[in-house]
Amino acid sequence: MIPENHMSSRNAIKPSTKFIVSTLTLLLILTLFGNFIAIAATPTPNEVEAVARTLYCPLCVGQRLDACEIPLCIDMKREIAEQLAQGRTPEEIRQYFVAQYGPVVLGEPPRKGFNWLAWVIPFLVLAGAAAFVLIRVRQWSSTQPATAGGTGPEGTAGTEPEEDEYTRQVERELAEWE
Amino acid sequence: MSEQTTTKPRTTRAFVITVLAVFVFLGILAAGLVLRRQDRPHEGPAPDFTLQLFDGGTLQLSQLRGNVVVVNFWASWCQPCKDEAPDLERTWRRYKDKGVVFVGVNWSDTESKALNYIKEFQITYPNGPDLGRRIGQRYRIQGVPETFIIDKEGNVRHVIIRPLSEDELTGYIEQLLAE
Repeated sequence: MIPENHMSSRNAIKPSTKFIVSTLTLLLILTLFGNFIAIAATPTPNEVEAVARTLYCPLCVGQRLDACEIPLCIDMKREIAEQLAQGRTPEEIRQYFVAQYGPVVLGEPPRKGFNWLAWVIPFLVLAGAAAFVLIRVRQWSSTQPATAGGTGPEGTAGTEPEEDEYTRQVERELAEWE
Repeated sequence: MSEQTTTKPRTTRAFVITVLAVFVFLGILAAGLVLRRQDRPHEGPAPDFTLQLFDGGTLQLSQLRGNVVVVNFWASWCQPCKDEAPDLERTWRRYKDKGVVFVGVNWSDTESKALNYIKEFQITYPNGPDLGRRIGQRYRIQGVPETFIIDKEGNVRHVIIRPLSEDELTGYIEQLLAE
């Protein structure tokens, strides 16, 4: 038989032990869960590089961030890793860097205002050149039958009369030299 | 004959249009080059700017009229900036109650590194990032450190493109305070 006062003292200890055990368990679970979240949130080098590949060094000329190793680029890549770990999307990170360093980090002029010229002019030049070539080809093909003098011997087909005269003169002068 | 008479003007017109297009293109290129060649403001009114400070406030240069203002562009990755940082801070502490304001503009940097730099060199004058590098563009800076010293009227008086010493900076400030 256990004395009643002993029983009561044991019963009095139990809740505090339970409390300590449950608190420790909760702490353990939280720590493990926290670590799990941290591991899950840590971006892989490939993820960091994928974002870095779409950005350019603001201090270099045409140097992509993933291939740049100057101190600023290293800091920028670290910043990308931190922001990815915080759950930001690559597009949000790109916008952050544009706000920090300007559109130079995108490696292309922003499509607004005067910068549109940089986007439009190459296509206009290309279209102009294509139109010019097309017109010339059409002109050439339409004038060809009218001037062609038929198929003659030794590749003289289609030669202009002036060219014939020129050839004859060259031949005459060569004969004089001989 | 009629074919030739119609194609010739057409060819001439195409030639004229092509030449005009080339000249317009070259003109745009030349304008771009001229704009690029514009140098830092060495005199005249200092370009105004608003700086978002690291500690949360904002600072507008034009509101500092009446003070001698030292605008220093810096970055945490820049070794010469580190060399001059203690001199700048010492000079600031000496003159901050004498009508002199120092403004640090953090250029092409990351915020965490910039804050570490400020902590490391115990910098107490107002500092903020050059967001979008707009202030640097207005002052046409080419790198860091670059320091612009502005008189009480708001005009640029000195441009220093190298690390500054305390003695040199003191000389510039004393000269402008005496005016």
